[in-house]
Order: sequence, then structure tokens, then C-alpha cells
Amino acid sequence: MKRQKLVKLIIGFGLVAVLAISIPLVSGCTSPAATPTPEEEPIKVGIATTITGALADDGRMHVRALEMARDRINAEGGLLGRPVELLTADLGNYTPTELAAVRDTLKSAGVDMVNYNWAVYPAVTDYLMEIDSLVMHHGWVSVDWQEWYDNKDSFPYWMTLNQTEEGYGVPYFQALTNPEMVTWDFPNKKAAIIVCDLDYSVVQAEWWREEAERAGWEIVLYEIHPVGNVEFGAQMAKIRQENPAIIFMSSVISTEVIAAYADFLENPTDSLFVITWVINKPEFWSAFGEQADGVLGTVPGFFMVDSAYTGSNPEYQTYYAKGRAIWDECLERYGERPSLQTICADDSFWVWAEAVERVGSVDDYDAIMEAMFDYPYVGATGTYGFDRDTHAGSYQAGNVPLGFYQIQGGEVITLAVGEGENAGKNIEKITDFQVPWWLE
Amino acid sequence: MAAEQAVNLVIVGITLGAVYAVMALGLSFIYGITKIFNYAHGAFFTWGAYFAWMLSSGYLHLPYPAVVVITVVIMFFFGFGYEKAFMYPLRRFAGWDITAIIVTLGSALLFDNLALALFGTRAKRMPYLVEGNFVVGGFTITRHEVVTLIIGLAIMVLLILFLGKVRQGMAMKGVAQDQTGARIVGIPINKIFSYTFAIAAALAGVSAILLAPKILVYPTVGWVVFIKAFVVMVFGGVGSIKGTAIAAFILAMVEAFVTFYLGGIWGTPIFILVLIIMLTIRPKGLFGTW
Amino acid sequence: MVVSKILRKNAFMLGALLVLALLPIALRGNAHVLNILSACLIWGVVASAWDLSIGYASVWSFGHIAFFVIGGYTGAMTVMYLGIPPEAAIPLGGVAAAVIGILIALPCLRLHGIYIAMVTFGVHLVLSTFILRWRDYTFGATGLSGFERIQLGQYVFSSSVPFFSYYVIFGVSVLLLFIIYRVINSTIGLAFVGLRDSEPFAKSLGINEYKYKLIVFGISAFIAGLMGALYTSFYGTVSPFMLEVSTFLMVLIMLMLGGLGRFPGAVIGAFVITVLSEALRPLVLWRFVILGAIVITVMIAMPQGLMALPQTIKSFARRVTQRKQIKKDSIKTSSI
Repeated sequence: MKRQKLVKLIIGFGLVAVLAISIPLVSGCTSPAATPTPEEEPIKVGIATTITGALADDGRMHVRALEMARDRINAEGGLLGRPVELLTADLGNYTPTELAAVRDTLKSAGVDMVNYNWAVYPAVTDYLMEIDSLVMHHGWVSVDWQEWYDNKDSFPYWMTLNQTEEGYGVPYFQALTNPEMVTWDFPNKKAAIIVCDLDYSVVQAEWWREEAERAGWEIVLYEIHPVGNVEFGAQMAKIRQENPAIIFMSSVISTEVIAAYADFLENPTDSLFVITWVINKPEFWSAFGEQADGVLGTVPGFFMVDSAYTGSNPEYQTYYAKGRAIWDECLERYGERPSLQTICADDSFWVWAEAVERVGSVDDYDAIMEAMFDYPYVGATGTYGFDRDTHAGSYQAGNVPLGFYQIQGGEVITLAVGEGENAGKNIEKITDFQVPWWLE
Repeated sequence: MAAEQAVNLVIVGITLGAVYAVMALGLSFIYGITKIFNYAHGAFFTWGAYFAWMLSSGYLHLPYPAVVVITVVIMFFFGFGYEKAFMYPLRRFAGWDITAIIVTLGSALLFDNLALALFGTRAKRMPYLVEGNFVVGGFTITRHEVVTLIIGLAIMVLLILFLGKVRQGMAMKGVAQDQTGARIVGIPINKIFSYTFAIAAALAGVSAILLAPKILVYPTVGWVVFIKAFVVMVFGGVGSIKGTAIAAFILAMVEAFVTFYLGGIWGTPIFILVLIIMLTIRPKGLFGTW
Repeated sequence: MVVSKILRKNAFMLGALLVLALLPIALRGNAHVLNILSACLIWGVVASAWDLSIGYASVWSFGHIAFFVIGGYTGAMTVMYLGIPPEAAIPLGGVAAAVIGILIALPCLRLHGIYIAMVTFGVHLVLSTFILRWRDYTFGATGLSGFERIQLGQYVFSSSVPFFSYYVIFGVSVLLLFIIYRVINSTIGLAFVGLRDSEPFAKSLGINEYKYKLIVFGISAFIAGLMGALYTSFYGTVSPFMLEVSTFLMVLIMLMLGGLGRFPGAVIGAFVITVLSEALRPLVLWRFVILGAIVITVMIAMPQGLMALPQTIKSFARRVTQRKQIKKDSIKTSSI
């Protein structure tokens, strides 16, 4: 009996001791053997992105951009003569535990800048602000940006390339019905809208719907489905009944869009199939190949690489050349085309890197921010001039176009580009619209 | 409501119902006979779908009949091996049933993430079993849906015959009713367990082939189907093929019509409401026996 | 004498408590590690509350993650919209979860095993629909954040103030674990076990099955909900992401790895799984593959769970010495 208790005691303490030892190991709190001299000490760039989980593909595209940028800058002698080092932290499924781990690891590593894509989840913003490093946020999502804007006084070091997703709504509908771009006689003025139950997608769909109704269109289906839904049989039954001229699918989750399009293809109606952000994702093209031809989409920012820009606008020529270079490098290095994520991340890195060069310091955040404000940075997706109030690059001081795309021959082809408030009306046409194969 | 809409919805309902029924039968089989609730059943579906994808559009581009046969055979041995490797060693000890649950939980984690690590998050597409439509008096029915329904019903009939007429099937029924008694009369329980898992995995493979062209192949796809199969199994009553089939059709119809009239987001709540009402009337499901 | 008896009897738990109380000081306030430890404690309590239902009462509830999330939303929303002080919102989270728990227990009264599992899992499935639909208040999938935190003098209860927050969580967890321990060893706990092990016999002794089912749902949902509110307050956010299968799966694994119905087992399971999954983080995509493999291997080697480790070692030793033949086909009846 006594021995039994002793065994229990020893095992109990043993377990706790093992845990106590393993926990510090887990944290990776190893101190560097020797402190390098300041000139050699790397500049640390933290990447807050989704390496696992449903958005892992976006994260991979994001990390690739920074890997290419790091190698380019290090090959040229580094930033301020110091090598750039990347530190990737996984936002995973955005559980609070993961967010805290991202914050704690990046903070304890003492990163000089945090490069963050987007999440449609303001809590990520809260956590990244607590790192106390300068944050370069690609944006395109208003809720992420708004969370920072509300806390601007306590943490000013946040820069967003583009603070809103507005472009998907009003200008998108205008461009679709702009005869300059879509040269197809709509058989009716009916539209079906399929929306993913994420606030971001719902807001886009609402804008789109309002504009459609203003233009006298009838919305025959406005269907919000649960996040991650892959069964669209009932919705398609309704669509097949109504035969609307446009099917608009507002969702950022590729799986949903692929499933809906696959169901649509089973028995296509006389409709244009119109999607949003997913058009730029390789997941979508690679799932359908040539069968994806005819699908329309929009992406804010200049993203034109499958189709060469041959127009006369000098700014667009610059964007195109820059984008093309990243495109080719990505294709060569990773054997896969980049998504807009990659090109955006590249811009967000170089905006910062060039400002650091001009300032000559990596930790004087005030000076770096000052160097970024109102300075027109010409990137691959547009010209970014950061506003002093909103800290956003695309509005007022900046100039970022909105691209409208169609898949043709298995590639994402730019149909037109628009700018400013009437981005959908005053467009520069680039490529001819192709009537989708199921309508021929 | 226009007749065409109603017919379309009924078709959507019964084809989905046939697939859920096949999936739920596998789950119900394992639970009824071995008394193990197999959390990894969703992973069986996922892997069935990935095997079928690798054989068809992924790598080998085999003709469809070959894909179906090879996938079912692979899944049969997958289930057999799963039982032999993970479940059999547990049965040395009393109280193994609880251990078995956590092992199925652990294998769900393992297999789902293995698919993620090997194939990535990107959804894969599978071709339809047969392309094209039937046009019958103004209604368009896709050939894939017709084939799905036929296969689903054929499997149910085969299972009823297997359990009622074939020696091994009757032995399985015996084990389901009383494990100790079955052992006493000389039924080889270990063998029965292995075959039960093997058949259930093969059923998951079949439902994967039928459903994957519609809902794609990705690492967590199994959970979507697993949860629905779980509801169907409980609704129909564990161990009743008839109950499972009826439950699958009822629930698929409810889902299709609710999605149509109220929107897709109300599908699950109403589904669950119907289930709770039904269970308060019949606590063991529609035709629960085991 | 009595003191030393209590000390000896609970040596394991007291030792563990002492280590947990002193660890933050030894770690010199390492934020990352302290936050991991806090997560271990939170999940330990949730898993123990769940164990009360599954392990002790054999009521196969699959609704505990839903109760946890309900508690979290209640905590955050009462602070945001009703202006309730954040300290008071935490027990309110528990109350809300307990109310839902008892409501869902009603259709479960006549049900058993897997049928209870399905009905309770229904709460889980339906909850996300309601969160998403009630967008004006819950902010849908965007989740809630930026609500008022608990403040004690200059200290804020937040994962960014790990040292202080760890001790708050430690205090609450120890208190709740003590309550669970007392429940297990009270007449209520005995009734649970009686109903689990032999329902007809327990009923013949006059134990009201329905009453105890309601009690077990109430208590365990209350604790899960309270922890949900605490978790939400600690991390400053709550969203429907918590309802994804992964959370459900992980907590269930924690619970079962420790051993069903072996009281501090669930806490140990929570520590082991949380620490392991953090340790395996560098493996990125292979992390959960390896974790799953470890769980399977451990269970095949130690079928009784971690809490049975001493017995397993002993029986192994006995087997080696006595070379006793083990029966291969020992099969017992079971629940789920």
C-alpha cells in the first residue's frame, strides 16, 4: 500500500517536472550565442499570415513574395547594409490562442516590421498592434482597418495599402453593364446573388445589389449561405427556373465558388457567372482549366500579367513591368503563378524598405511613417501615397486602379481598368470580352 | 410553385439522400455491430475521395468503372487495416470501448491533416460519373444524379440481402445483438469486427465517389458529410437500414425545400428541430433496433 | 495526523498546484509560456466539466464547446450592451450556458448514449447560424472585440499582461476544479456514478434519473460557460471560429487522453495536448499529423489513459514477472 502511494507521488512529480522542463523548450526562448555587431545584425521582418487552415493558400502566396523580396534585397547588400531576415507566424484558423502565440513570438523576437495580409477579423488587428512594431497591412478589408483607426491614438504605426473593399460593389456592377466592356446583349435584366455569410461578402453583395436595383434590374435570388457551404443544388434549381442574365457570387472562399461553379456547369443557364476576389486565386483556375473560361471577376489593384498591357498610359506601363517581373520570378522559382496576394505583399514590403532607406533607420518609426506619408510610391498594383489621417495608400494621395477580369484560355485576362469614383463607368478597355462557351 | 421547380427540388433531395444514406449506413454499421462510434468516418470519406481523385483526374486518368472498382477495393482494405492496426490491439483490455473512441478521434486528426499535408488546402475537382442530361417531358435530370440514385438504392438492397441471407451477414447481426453470446456460439468476433470496418470504409468510398464531383475534394470535406450522416443515423435509428434510408430522404428533402424557401442558412436549424421533435416521440430513432 | 493524511492522499495534486503556482516566477514572466500555461488551465477546467457529464454521469453531451462559446458571447455582450462590469459578466456567462444546458437537457431526458450526443451537438450546429444571423449584435463572423476588460488597480486581465492574468486564471481554475472535485465526491457524484454503472439498481434505490441529468447538465454547462466568458475576457475576442470542428476535437481528445471519469485526468490531458501542440508548431502542416499519431500510439500502449499510468506500469511489471498470458478477446459491452 505504501509503495503504491510512493509510485503515485513519484509519477505525479515526474509528470509535472517533465512539463515544467518542456514548456520553456517549447517557447523557443533560446538566447543567441554571441551578439553580432550592429552592422551585421539582421533586420527582422515578421510575417503574420495563414500558413495552415482554410486560407493556407493565401498565406503561401504571401510568404513567397517576401522570400523573393528578401533575397533580392540581400543580394544587393541588404537594407541599410544589414541582411533582412524573415520570421513567419501562423494565424491559422484565427483562434485566440493562435493570435496570442503570433503576438508573443513576434514580440519576443523583436521584429522591426510586421507584414500582415488581411483577415476580415478585427481581433487580429488588436493583437498585431500589441507587438509594438510598425505594421504594413495590405488591406482591402474595412473591418480590419477600422479597428486600427478606432485605436489610432494609442498605436499610430500602422499603414494600410487600401482600407476598403468598396470597389467590389458599385463600380463592379457598373462595369459589368458597361457596353464598352461586356459586349453581350443581356437577354433579360435579372440577376441572382449568392452570398457567403461573412460580413465582408455580405457588404459587397449589398452594394452590388443596390446598384443593380438602381439600374432597374430585378434580383430574382438573394441567397445567403453558411460559411463553407458546398451544396448549391437548391439554389441552382431556383436559378435554372429563373434563367437570370447574371449570377453574382460574393464569396472569398475558393471552395464555395468552385463548388457552385461546378454545380452550375452541370446544366448551365444563359447567364454570366460573375465572382469577386477568388478570380485571382490559382485554386480557382487550376480546378477548372479551360472550363473556367468566361467567368468574370474583379480585384482592386492593378493585376495584369496574363494579358500584356499595350496601352499608352505610362503609369500602367510601369505597373505592368513591375508586376511582370514578380510574376516571372515566382513562376521560375516556385513553378506556380502568383496571386494578387503576392504582388500586393511585394508592394507593401518595398514601400517600407524604400522609406527605411530614405530615413536611414529601421527603428525610428515616426521618421519612417513621415517618409511614407504623401510620398507617391509606384508599385506593381498602383501608386500608393499614404494619407496622414487614414494611413491608407490608395485613396486621396494615392491612385490605385480597379481591374476587371475574365478567364480566357485558362488565364486571367484583364478586360478593363478603371480609376477613381467612376471606376466602373470611365474605363480603359484592354482586351475584348469573350462570350462564355456555355452561351454559344 | 412551378412544377419544374418542385421536381428539381425533389431530385436534388433524393440524390443527396441516397448518398447520405450510404454514408450513414457505414457509420451505423460500425456503431451497431462493434459499438464503436467512429469519429474517423469523415476521414474515411475524405480519403475515399482522394483515392478516387488520384485514380481519375489527379494522376492516373483511369476510366471511371475502373476508378470505382479500385477505390472500393482500396477502401475495403483501408478499413480492414485500420481495424487490425488501431482497434484490435486495444481489445486486450477491459474498457477498451472508451479507448477505441479516443483512437478514432486521434485518427481523425491524423488522417485529415495527412491529407492536408500531402495534397494542400486546394480543392480538387472530380469528373461526374457520367456527363450529360436526360430530358424527360421538359424536366432536365443529369445522368450523374440518376446513377447516384441507382447505386444508392442498389447498395441498400445488397446490404439487406447480405444481413438477411448470407452467413457472414447473419453473424454480424448476431454480434450486434449480443457480443458475448455470439462468441459463445463460436462466431469469430475479431474477423467480424475487421469486416465491419472494411465494409463501412468501402461504403464511405462509394459515397465519396458519388458526392465528390458535386462538393469537391479537400481535406475537411469528410466532416461536412460525417455530421450529416450522424444526424441521419440517429434519425433513422441505429442498426435499421430501412430507417436510415427513410431518414436520409426525409432530411435531404427538408434541407432542399428549406434552402429553397427560407435560404441555405436555415437548413441546419430546421434539420435539428425536426430531429429533436422526432426523438421526443421515438427516443431510439425511427426504427432503431440496436 | 489528519493534515499529514490529507497531504499524503493528495500529494500529487498538491505538488502540481505548488509547481503551477511557482512556475511563473521561475519563468521570469515569459509571456509566450505563461499564455500557453493559461490556455492549459482554461482547457483543463473545460475538459473536467465535460468529464463530469461524459465520464461520471455517462451523459454523452457534445454540446460543451457550444456552452463554452455561449458563455463567451454572453460575457462579451453583457459588457458591451448592458454595461455590466466585466467581473460580473463572467459568472453571467456561466448562468447563460447553464440555462441553455438545462433547456437542451429536457429533450434529452428520455434519450441515451448517441441520441443525447446528437441532440446536444445540435446546439453546436445551430449556434453558428444564430451568431451569424444576429449580426447586428454579434457582428457575425467578424466576431466581437474591443470590449471592456477586467481591471484591478493598474493591472488589466488580458493575455498581454500575462503574469497578473495567469494568477487570475490559476485562482479561478483551482476554485472551479475544487468545486468539480467536491461534486464528484458528494451524493450527487455518487448518484451519477450509480446511474452510469447500473441504472436499474440506482433507480430501484430511488435515484431520480431525470433530476440528476438536469443537475449534471446544469453544473457542467455552468462551468464550461464561465470558462468561456473568462477565455473571452482574457483574449479580448470571441468569434464563431471557436465552433469549428478542430476545437471540439482537441478538447475531446484532452478529456479522453486523461481518462474518462478519473478526476484530474482531464486537466493532465489538457496540459499534455496543449503543450504538445505548441511544441509541434514548427512542423507547420505536419503538426497535427504527428499529434494524432502520438495520441494513437499512447492509447495503444496505455489503453487506460494517462491517469492509469501507475497501474499500467505496475501491471506491466507484474506481467513481466509472472509471465501471465493475457486473454486476447476480452470484450465488454460499451456505450458510444
